[in-house]
Amino acid sequence: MRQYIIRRLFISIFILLGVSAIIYGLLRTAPADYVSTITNGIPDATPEMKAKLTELYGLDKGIVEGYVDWLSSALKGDLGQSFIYNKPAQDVIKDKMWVSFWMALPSFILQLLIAIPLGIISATKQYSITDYTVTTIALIGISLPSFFFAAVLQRAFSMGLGWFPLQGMVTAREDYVGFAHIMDMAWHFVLPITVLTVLSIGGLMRYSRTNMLEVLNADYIRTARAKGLSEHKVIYKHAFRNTLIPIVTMVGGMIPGLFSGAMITEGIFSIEGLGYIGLKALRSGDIPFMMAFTMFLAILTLLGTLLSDILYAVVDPRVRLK
Amino acid sequence: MAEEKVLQTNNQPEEVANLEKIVTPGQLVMKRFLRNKLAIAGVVILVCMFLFSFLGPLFTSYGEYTIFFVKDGVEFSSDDHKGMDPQESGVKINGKAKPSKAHLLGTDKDGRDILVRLMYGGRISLLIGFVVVGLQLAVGVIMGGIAGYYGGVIDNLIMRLVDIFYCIPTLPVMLIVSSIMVAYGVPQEYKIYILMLIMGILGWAGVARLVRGQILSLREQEFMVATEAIGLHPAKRIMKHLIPNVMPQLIVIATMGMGSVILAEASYSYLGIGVPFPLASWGNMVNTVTDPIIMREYLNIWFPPGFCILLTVLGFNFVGDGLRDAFDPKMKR
Repeated sequence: MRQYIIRRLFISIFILLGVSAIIYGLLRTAPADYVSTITNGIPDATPEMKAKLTELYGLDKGIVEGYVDWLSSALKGDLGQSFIYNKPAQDVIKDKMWVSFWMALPSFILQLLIAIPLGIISATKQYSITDYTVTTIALIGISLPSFFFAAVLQRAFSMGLGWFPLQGMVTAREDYVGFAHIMDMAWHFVLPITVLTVLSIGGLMRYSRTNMLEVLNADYIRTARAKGLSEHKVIYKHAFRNTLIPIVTMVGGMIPGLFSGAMITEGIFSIEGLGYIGLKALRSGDIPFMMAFTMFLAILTLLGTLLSDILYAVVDPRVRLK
Repeated sequence: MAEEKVLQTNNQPEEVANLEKIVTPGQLVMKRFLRNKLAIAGVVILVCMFLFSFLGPLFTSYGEYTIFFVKDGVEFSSDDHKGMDPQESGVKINGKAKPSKAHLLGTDKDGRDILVRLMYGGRISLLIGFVVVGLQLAVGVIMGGIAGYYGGVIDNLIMRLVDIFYCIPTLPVMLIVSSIMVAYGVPQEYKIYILMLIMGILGWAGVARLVRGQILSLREQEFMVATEAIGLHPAKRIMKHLIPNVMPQLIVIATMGMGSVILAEASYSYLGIGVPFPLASWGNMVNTVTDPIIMREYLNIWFPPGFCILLTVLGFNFVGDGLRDAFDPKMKR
């Protein structure tokens, strides 16, 4: 097991190297660098000023040299200054990822509470009206474009009914503190959390359903029924526990993703999470932050797959990782 | 004959049918698929969307970019001036018109017919879906096939490449690519091809993983030993004997992939990095919702395109889901 994890981590380093090289190369081929973006707004910026800024931000080196530089300082834990925040990129990520996390966590919990029971019910009543309804709802959730659903919610619940605020994280000019502040934020998070939840329920629900169906077709379920157990016991004691194996694996793999931020949803609701900041950084050519951000996302993806593989072995005693 | 009669008296016409006719696996899949009401609903939705987008424009005289003007209550378009001059004073663009007989869904803020733009937007979305999924399948099948068939070092190399592509965050890369295109002044009409290419390149990893996994188990089976014994060329062995066995999974992944590619393209267009203006696309039509006045007052401008995306993607998901159930030999129905 330990050997397996070490080997996977070793491979992960190579994957991260590959990802960073591709992203850095792409970023540097874009001539729309940060220096020309900021100096565009200043009519009397002299070429000397520009050159100085370019040097300051390390854009004067070639792509390969720049990448090696970036890599060596990244290995020392320095991901460079974010141009637009004037702060080390990793500090910006550390700040903002918690906003994204607090938005993603409630939606994640809701998702578990709704999707898994629905998946189980829909599997036990396969091809019934309940199954069709649940499946339809799940697939609609998967098929909804986030920006469209967000707009519909905004139009209905904040413009139409006035129940929730349209955008933002806190009410402007109301300096709530303590509990009131938290409630104010929660109030602002209702719509974005709804969007995230509805969009992600379908995947987990379908997954639970498929796995439950597989378990229900297994021989030991027939045995359980044959020895006269009640249907309730068969499903919740024998079938459900075995369905939990793949579910735990998948859910565990989703946890790192809670920090990644939702670019489009955060953008629409003006929530200053990682996704929103990332989108802004991308638009203004903030290379150090972009690099840090994409690497962060890549690490989260890798962690997710690693975690789900490890959980697979932990939960299911039959699995031995080599 | 006597046997048949006995069965018929048992009142089991279905069994008789099975005895008389041999059901091929394909027919079995078909039968299971047709029993699934949601899958049928999906097929109906998709057929309607295809007809709407590809045949719809034939039934209207308005073009994709036709702009409508109005003067003293009389409407004319940039295609058909009706003897009037758009430059004339007192002529206004007939923008944000409410739904009427001439414009069933009204016009957008630049005075173009929304219904017609919806049709052209559908064309683009479906076309991008097909091209991108085709690209992903082509690259994925070749890479996955090679990795699974040869194994060893080649497999290792290809799979690490798959891991890398799997980890690259798509949306940031699309944003970077779009700003590169802007910076180099790529003409609008080429952008869409580059968009499709990048989406294809970024999305093949999943297909390759699936194909490789399947082939790893298939190549150990007897029929593959037989192909080796008769000395078939590896390319033929992969393409003729391995890939057809992965076909069911490929069809499912392609159908579902159509949905997700259309959804992704819509998000890119919404962010302004997808289908470039003045081409119509559902995503950039929904983008008008960022104007609060349009969001509040003109539902006819932003709701229909969003709903079209939802319906089309839903159609593909219904069909894909139905196909997966139909292909699954474990599903008894």
